[in-house]
Amino acid sequence: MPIILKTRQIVKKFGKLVANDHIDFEIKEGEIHALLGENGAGKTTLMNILYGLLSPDEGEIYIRGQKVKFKSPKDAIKQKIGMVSQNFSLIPALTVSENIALGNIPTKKFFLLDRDLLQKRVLSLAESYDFDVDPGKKIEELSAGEQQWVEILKAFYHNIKILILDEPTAMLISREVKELFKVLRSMISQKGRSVIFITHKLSEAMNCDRVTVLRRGKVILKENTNNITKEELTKAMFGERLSFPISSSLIIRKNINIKESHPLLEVKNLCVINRGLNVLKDISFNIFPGEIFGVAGVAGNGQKELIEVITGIRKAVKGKILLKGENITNYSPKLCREKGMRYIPEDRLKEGSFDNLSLAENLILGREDKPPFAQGFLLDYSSIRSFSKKMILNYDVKASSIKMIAKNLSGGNLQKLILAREISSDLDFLAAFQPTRGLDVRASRFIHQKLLEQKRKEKGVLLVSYDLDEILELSDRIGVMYKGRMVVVPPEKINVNEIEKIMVEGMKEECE
Amino acid sequence: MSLLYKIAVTSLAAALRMSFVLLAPALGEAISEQAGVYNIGVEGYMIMGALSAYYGVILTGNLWLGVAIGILGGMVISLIHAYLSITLKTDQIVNGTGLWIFCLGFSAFVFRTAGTTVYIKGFSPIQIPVLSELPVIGPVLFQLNILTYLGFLLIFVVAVILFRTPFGLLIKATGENPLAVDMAGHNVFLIRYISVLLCGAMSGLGGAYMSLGVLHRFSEDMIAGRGFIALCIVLFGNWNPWKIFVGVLLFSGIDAFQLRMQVMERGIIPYPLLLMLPYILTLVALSVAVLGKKNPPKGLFFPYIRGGQ
Amino acid sequence: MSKRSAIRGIICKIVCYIIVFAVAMGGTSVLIYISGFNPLEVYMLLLYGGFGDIGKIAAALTKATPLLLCSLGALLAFKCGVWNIGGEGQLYMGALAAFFAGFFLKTPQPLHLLLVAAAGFVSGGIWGGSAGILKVKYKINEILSTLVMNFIAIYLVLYVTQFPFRSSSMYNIVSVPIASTAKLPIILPGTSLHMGFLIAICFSIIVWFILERTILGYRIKAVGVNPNTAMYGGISVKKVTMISMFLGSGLAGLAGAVEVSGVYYQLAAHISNDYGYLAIAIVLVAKLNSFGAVFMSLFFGGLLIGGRFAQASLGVSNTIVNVLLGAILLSILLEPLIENRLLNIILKNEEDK
Repeated sequence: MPIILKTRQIVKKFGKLVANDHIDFEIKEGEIHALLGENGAGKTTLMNILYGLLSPDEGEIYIRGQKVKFKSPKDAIKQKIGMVSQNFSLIPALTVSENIALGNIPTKKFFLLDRDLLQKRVLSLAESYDFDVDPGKKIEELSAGEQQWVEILKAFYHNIKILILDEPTAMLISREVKELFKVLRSMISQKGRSVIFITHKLSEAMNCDRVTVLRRGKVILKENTNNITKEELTKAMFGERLSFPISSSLIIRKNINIKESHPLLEVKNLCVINRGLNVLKDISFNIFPGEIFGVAGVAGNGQKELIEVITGIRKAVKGKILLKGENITNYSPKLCREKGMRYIPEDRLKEGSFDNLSLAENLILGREDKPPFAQGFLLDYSSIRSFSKKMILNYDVKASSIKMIAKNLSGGNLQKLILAREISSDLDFLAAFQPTRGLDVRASRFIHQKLLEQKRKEKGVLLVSYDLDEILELSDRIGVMYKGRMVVVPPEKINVNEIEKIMVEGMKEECE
Repeated sequence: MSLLYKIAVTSLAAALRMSFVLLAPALGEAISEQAGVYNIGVEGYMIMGALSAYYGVILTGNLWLGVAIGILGGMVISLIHAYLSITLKTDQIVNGTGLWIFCLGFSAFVFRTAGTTVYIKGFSPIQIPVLSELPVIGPVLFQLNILTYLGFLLIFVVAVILFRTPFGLLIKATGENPLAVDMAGHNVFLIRYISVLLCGAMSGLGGAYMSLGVLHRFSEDMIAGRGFIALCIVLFGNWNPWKIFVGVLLFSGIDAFQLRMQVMERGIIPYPLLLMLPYILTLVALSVAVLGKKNPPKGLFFPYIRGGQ
Repeated sequence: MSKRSAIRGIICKIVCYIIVFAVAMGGTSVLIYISGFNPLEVYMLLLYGGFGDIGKIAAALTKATPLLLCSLGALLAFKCGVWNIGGEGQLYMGALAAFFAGFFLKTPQPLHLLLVAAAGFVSGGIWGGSAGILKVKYKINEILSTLVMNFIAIYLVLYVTQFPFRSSSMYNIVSVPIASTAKLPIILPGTSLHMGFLIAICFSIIVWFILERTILGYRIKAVGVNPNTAMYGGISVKKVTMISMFLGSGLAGLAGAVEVSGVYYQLAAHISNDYGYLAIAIVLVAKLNSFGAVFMSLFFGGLLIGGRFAQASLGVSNTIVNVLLGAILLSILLEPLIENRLLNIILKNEEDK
């Protein structure tokens, strides 16, 4: 089978970070080719280059032997490349047909939009892929799974020869994933077509014909899927087994005798509504002192709302939250802080720090009005200075001085700064949301170490993460979220397959 | 009774005549905001439009050439705003504020240096045969000047463009999610540039009308915040051309009313208090506007950066 | 960041600013030339007219006083992320209240002055503060609300000076005079420089102190940089926003009081020469830096006096100063472009070596 697309020595850097490191990648006609790698391996960057959204610093792209240069998605579309992207590129306020036909809008006389033709085209497209949808419905009215299908359908609107799918199964249940593969197989059965399937899930990669593994921007492996095992792929994806320099006794899951301990945090029948939708439905769980409670789940199932309502940022419509026995439901973030709660938000730049203020000014947030940082209404700069210097030392924050502006810190150092701020004061409870997102191994290890230290100090930790491995490494008990509901899994029942299944399918008895 | 009738009819007619001043910039800004760019400097576009149109007519001797130069004046400033906000991707509010303040100083200097205060006949009411003789609606609807009729046409045109053409769909899509539009193969930057330039052109036209059709000359405080009032009307009208028209009528109505009152009721109500009325109404409208459900484009104020945040 | 790249960054920034000012002055020079004047002559007169001798400097500082107070007010609000463009209206409201305090109250001088200043501050503070409340409680855009309130305030003062408190003067629209105990004393005999200038300088220090040394200032800056992070950290964004709006507007009101009490000794319909708007430009050009804002306010006070001097001597309109400020502002907005090009050139040179 001829090679339909080839990249040669593609290099792409973002500052010091080498996202793509001399990548040689190729796909043949008529194959579904998996691009496998964990978060941050460089898959999306490579695909953005192939779709014209980014231009490579070095390297070339060849399509059917011809060298091509993409200045914008328009050039990629001209080469009959289609992409289903990872961050939703749908427009919630517009209808299904308007979204799908954005690339080629039909017109009638006088430059007017031909809505009937639009409707017809979308309906026939949906029919041919057995997808039942009302083209006149707005995207925001659809479920997450339906939205994902509209994204996929959008790619099929044009007559494309090379289809790139970037993590297309995030919102799909396993039955739908099977459907997707059926659709893809029927697509490549036509002449001259290929599919690039980006994923971080091994099972999906094995469903494809060939697989290329990326790690840290480099191509590690290229192989037919029938010539390779899952273990070999895992090794290629993650490299050497990570060993934590932490006493393994800390990781031993605690068997908490529920009847005899007093819970630190109690959540009872919590309900939250966001924009008219029930995002949290009757959530109940407890967190005990000295445990890390992990919340697993695919993004978008209510985790963000859960952590926001616990930390006081969002209002609960029904239900109770108790911290150390005190009802803190709908307390402001300031009050929650005073009662001993700390929060590490998901987005370190947009929610966790002040990018244009100094490190010292970032470190005193939350305590700026209390001694030793303040006397009366004045700030005590000598205390602030000495505290800041101590913190950047203890928390391994690589910075030239405490006067440095926070946005000049690397991701890992910024996260360590935020961690320093949150856990260096007396706390009872820490809520951490995606604390190691986008960090390298060393920084992640450091953060994990500090989280485990809270366990030793008999504090409670709520860890919400989309990285199941992280949850599995650190949690004593796990709650799995699916469509706004939570299923609590006791330590003895923690099993990756079970949890994954709940993450994508919920419990069988669940009705929406 | 007859006096009241006179005031009512002439106010209504004046309101419609004046409506173009607010209508054009409001419609232009609605287009630009739908595409995702906020022009706080509309006041500046209008000032430059008024200035350029006035001196354009004086220099060329031709009314319509003057109007064209007025449109160009507004477009030049909006082009700078577009460059700063779309290409350099800096803060849209800061850019707009800076441009407006620049226009304030620049227009004052040009006006004082040129020194002319020539009266320009400009646009005067046209009497449409037969129809203008009708009772009540005759003087109100059929003795307006040509730009007012253009204004009515403009509402219709803008509504059609936004709701019924592919370009309108692209504008809306660009304001909501420029990434989607980029991935569909369209040029987000071009769409936004065109929208901002349209806003500049229409605002310049509104300003031109102010100097050529309302005051018949230029004066330094002539725009008097109308650009900002137009921004309020866009919000009040929920980016819908027809609702914007209703808002414009309300404001022009008050504007015309207070002008009439100043002329007719000499001394009974002190004229500064009358001058305040449109602005008090704007404050009220702003308060009312935030009560209803507003659907601003999600991408408003945010520059589009291709390939990631 | 290595030391070399840090130094390179600083040099680049300095060169950038030089280019920015050069571009602004270049553009303004073209305009001056087209108007039939010699740009160099005009600039010389501007500088000389504002700073040429003690008398001129005194006039410059007098002119700079309301400008400085308005700039401090705008600075406080902008630092908090509130786009308060109502400085002009707040100044008028402050002038109005100060006039009433100056006219109606009968108290000995030190107390009277204090009451006049307080009246101005509180009046401006409430005027702008209510826009702040509208923003915080009802999410009403503060740019639109403060701008519109400017006109209401200006017309209110016009009303008071035209009707109830109208003076017998035939020429200017001014009110009856205030009590003599409400007049700010002159601090430099033979000039118009009054105590208001010292008040403005005091407040410069106070504002710097608030921003850099107090909890409130920290919170104001925090909210201005990132209200989300501030909220998560327990700062009451609403409270801080309202306070900064009140304080900033109060300073603009104080500017109005100081003009009534130190320059006009009465309320005037045109008591402000666009100080509120010029202040916005100054703070933007100074990129919200307090030292920069103070320095530029004083400098532009001088240029404004110089402008009148140039107009009297040469005939060029004094509004050329406004144009200059606007041009500098525009060039500052274009600064990222200049910086990028410059960095590219520097980096290319380094690579070639």
